[in-house]
Amino acid sequence: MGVKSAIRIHSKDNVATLTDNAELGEGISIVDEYGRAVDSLTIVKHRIPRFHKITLTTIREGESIFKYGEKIGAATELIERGDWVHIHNIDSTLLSEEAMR
Amino acid sequence: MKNEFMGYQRPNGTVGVRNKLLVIAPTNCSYQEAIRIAGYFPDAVAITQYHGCRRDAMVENQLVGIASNPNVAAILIVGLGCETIRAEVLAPIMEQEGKPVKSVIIQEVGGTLKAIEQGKILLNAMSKEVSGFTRKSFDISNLIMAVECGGSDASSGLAANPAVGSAADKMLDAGGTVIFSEPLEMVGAQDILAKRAASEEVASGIHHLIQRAEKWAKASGIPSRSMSKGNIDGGLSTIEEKSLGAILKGGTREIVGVLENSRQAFERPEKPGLYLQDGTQFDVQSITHMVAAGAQVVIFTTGRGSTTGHAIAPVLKVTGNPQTFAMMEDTMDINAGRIIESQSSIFELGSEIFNSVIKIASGGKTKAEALGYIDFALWRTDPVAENLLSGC
Repeated sequence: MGVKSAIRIHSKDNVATLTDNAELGEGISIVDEYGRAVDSLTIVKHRIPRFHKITLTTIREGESIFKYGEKIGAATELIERGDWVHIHNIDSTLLSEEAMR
Repeated sequence: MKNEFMGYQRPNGTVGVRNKLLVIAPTNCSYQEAIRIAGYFPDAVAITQYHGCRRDAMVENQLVGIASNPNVAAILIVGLGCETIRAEVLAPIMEQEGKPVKSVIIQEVGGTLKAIEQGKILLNAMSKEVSGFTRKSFDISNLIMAVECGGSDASSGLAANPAVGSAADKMLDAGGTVIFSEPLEMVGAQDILAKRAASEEVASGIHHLIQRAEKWAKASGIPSRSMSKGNIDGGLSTIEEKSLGAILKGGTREIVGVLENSRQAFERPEKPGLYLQDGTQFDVQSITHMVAAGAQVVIFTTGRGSTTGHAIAPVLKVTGNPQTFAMMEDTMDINAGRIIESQSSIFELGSEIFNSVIKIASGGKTKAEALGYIDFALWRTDPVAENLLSGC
């Protein structure tokens, strides 16, 4: 089948979304919205399910995570390049439900 | 021929992609007759609404909007006679569009069978008048495309919505108009949408629309900012990510207006561009609402699948889930799941979807149309709840 891929939807994004499950140590090709391979990386630390996100750079605690060209949240810990980004290490930066008028 | 489509010129200058005979039962009290009259003519479709027979501007505005849609060539109103949403009130408003409009009132004509006969005779005369219309070439600036999503899954924000958004951008760049809605699903992205507004007024309108949707949701006990287990298992991590994936189906261009449907007015696009319409998440009601504002074609993105087709506008169905496409190929038009399978890209699917929209606009049938599916439903807000909530 060839190398698995993850899609970087917008050029500003620092995460890509997997189109298949990825195992530890597996090589992933990062493709853009034109289908061009723009990067490749190795999965570190966790096996990651299909449709979940991997980081394209090392993201420090508190730094913004970009998808669709916009901020989707902030990292709650250091995330190494090639690792999983999900609810365990990203927080929404929107106002909480209680703060709603 | 790239930025043109073949359509029907209407008396008021708008262009239709279909040439429908519309049989309106303004309340369900005359729907049985309307169905039987329409059933006699291949290009006719009967519609009704179930919000009752008392006057409600929000309902009437949409009925008039549907009749005004350029896909409608002629209108027959079938009324019972005692309803307060009266044919005599609706007909003159619809006539202003310059299309043939006739009415038949069951209680006046003397019973159900006589009304059906009379209705058929009237519709037959109008059918002869409009069946001679032929398509001519028109610029894309005459097209209004509605974009809707339903039955979303993990593939929606990764494949279908980005591809449809790419097609929406092409439509807008070519001078066309795009309408998107479902404001409750934009909660995490309102600031981003407001940044894309063409003016302060539009930005303020966007915030107002989405905040009001949240207020209504809260009053109904619906959570507006929570993520379901399905969302989280499917890879969505924050409400911002979920909302951004949803709004992407409308493309990335500037938002030129906000379309309200209040009891004061039913707003329609006045010039080409991208519009955010107030509305609901319920698929058929949301599509009907955008079609009532003038949309001639609809793109519907779905992850888990839908079989919908609309009474007066072709609905092109796109799924980003390759399994869904395989299982529901009888009703799915475009397989954006090829992006997930690394067989195609977001941009390529965007081009394919845009070209399909032009073909459908010019007369090609969607799968739902080939099956004869004619969904129709009117949405409205509860007037009692409106009064109670407006104090907040």
